[in-house]
Amino acid sequence: MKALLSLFGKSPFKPLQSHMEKVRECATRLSPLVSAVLGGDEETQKKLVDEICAMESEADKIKNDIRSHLPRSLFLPVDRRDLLEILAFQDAMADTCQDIAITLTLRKASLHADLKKPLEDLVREVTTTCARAADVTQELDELLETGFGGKEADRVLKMVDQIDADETIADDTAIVIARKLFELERQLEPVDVMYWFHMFRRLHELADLADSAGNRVRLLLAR
Amino acid sequence: MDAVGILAQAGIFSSAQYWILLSTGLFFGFYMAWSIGANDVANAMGTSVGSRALTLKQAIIVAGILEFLGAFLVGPHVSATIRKDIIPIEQLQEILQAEGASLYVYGMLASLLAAAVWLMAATFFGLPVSTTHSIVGSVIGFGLVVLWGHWDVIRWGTVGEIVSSWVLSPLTSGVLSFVIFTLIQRFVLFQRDMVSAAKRVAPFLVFAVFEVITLVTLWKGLKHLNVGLTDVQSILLATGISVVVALLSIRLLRGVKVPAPAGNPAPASQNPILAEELSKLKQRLDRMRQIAHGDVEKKLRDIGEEMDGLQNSVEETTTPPAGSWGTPEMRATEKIFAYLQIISACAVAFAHGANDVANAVGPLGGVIAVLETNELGKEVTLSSAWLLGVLALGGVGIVIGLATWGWRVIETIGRKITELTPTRGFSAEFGAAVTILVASKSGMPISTTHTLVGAVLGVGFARGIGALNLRVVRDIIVSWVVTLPAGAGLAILFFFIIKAIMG
Repeated sequence: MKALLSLFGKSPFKPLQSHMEKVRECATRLSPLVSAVLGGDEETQKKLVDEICAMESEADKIKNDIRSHLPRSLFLPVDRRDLLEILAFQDAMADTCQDIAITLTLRKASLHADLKKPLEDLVREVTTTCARAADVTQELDELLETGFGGKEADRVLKMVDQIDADETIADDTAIVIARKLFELERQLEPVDVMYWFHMFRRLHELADLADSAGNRVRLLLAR
Repeated sequence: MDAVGILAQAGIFSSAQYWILLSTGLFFGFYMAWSIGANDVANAMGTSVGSRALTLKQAIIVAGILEFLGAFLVGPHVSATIRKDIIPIEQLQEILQAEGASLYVYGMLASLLAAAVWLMAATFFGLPVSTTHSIVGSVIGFGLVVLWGHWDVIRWGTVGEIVSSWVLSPLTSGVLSFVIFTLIQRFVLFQRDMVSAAKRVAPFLVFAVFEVITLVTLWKGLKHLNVGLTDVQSILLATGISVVVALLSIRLLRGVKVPAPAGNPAPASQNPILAEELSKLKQRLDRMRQIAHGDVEKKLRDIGEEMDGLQNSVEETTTPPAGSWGTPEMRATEKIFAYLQIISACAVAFAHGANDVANAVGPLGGVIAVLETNELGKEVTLSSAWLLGVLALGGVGIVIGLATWGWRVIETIGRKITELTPTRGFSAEFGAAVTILVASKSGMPISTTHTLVGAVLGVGFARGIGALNLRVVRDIIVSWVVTLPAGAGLAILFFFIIKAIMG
């Protein structure tokens, strides 16, 4: 009796999904945070940054829990390394969100009116890419149920293709805004230019990480 | 020598000894059966309770009936192996002369005791020890002392066969379950229309399960009930029964109302992703318009207006958000397999009765055979009445074990093994049941639990289960290595104690 019960290890798929949900929570707060920063609403800024930090630390807890329950003797339907890589990318997403949030509130930087709309666009594109990656992670238990194949796999692969497309759009948006920033460089404070360029880069990186996390799912489905 | 001779003439044992030996034997045989019912039956039924295919009460009733039938119908083969195939009765008689019969009775009783005590100890230390292995180890231990100096006559070939069957049975069930689950994936889970595919495939699976159960039962299984069928007759009858049941299942499956997927499945041209994409394209278009001038700007605006119309028509027909289709279908498929899983769980219960109960009461059968015939016959044959009586005692013991303690274990297992969804549960149970039944048929005392573990691992290797703890495999191997000497040692100890008391 004991033998059969102890045969079943702690499945990492559900925790991986709840980890990704925390990441999603972080990412969705970036848009309102940017609005609050641009609008100078310090109270909302503080509230959102606190929430993002709390989410990030919850995600960290889940991450540590997954790692400590993933001994080598655990037999998984997918490669253990692929799973850990997905987790690493998700973790990096949470970290980057937190970093972006904190950096956004570090200094009162003024943003040129021409850059406001593009920044909102960029944040939206990046958040969409993150959400799409989260959707893919949410498909993992369905994939497990169908045994990582068939039409469910095809569907998830389509979703991953979609992330790629989203990431490309985020790329383009980042390039547009950076170009605009440097067009305006003579009218702006040098520190502001560097600061915003750094912010754009970080946002762009977040989209990259989401894309990488989603694309690792391809490896789970590769035969 | 003379005194012993006279004793043998009048009966080997005094009336008091007879009753002590018989009642002790019955008691420990019953205890073994009880503990099997209390602990092991959950293996077969836990998954069905877990997937809510059966209620706890139904599971206990079904398990009780099938365990009993398995023990009663297929049990005698395994029971005979324990009783007479490990220790050669003829040589025992030759070497020990008149003393042989009484020593054999003490030995079998000691084996029964040793197995019971070792099981309790192992449970205390949390080792996944099997009843079967304990009994085999104990009988070997008794053989070693009673045939001191004549070890060459112990049937080491049989012992070797039994031990290798312990390795082979999990391997076989693993391979079978792997194949079954892979087939289910290929023909059901990977299909475009899972539910219809499941309905198509199910009758064949029902046929396969029934064919195996009935064939094993009929094919010499009923010999002790004086139902002699030739091989061809058995095969024909088994196939006939299975075809009828499979046809019945088609009817029943047609009646299974599978909830239609929530909402209308969106055609490929009208799905949520499309709507989202359109709105993004619209956004990009707006951005392009901001930097465009003149004609280009005007054209872009026209395109934008056209897109608005397209967007509206897509959104109207668009059903659930991304990610929520496919799930109801999966659930419907699992529901169909939940019915199949009841059948496979029954097969496991039946097989379990055939193998484990028979093991547990095997030594008891030996004790009674000698007590009743007053001699150590070549075959230690039991009269049909006693054989059925002993197996019935085992069956009843199991049912009482189930009723007193087993339901709790079934409940626990059912709650914890949620990973064994019906498709997985069916695959694992099918592989295990076939393996156990075939082994029982050839008289191999194997471990049901270990065979089931092998089967679950097989499903895992087909990428069916979230996470499997491979350390269990190590524990099982350790338990093999430890159980044989431990059972043997305890049996030797009890043998000398019983001999001292009775002699």
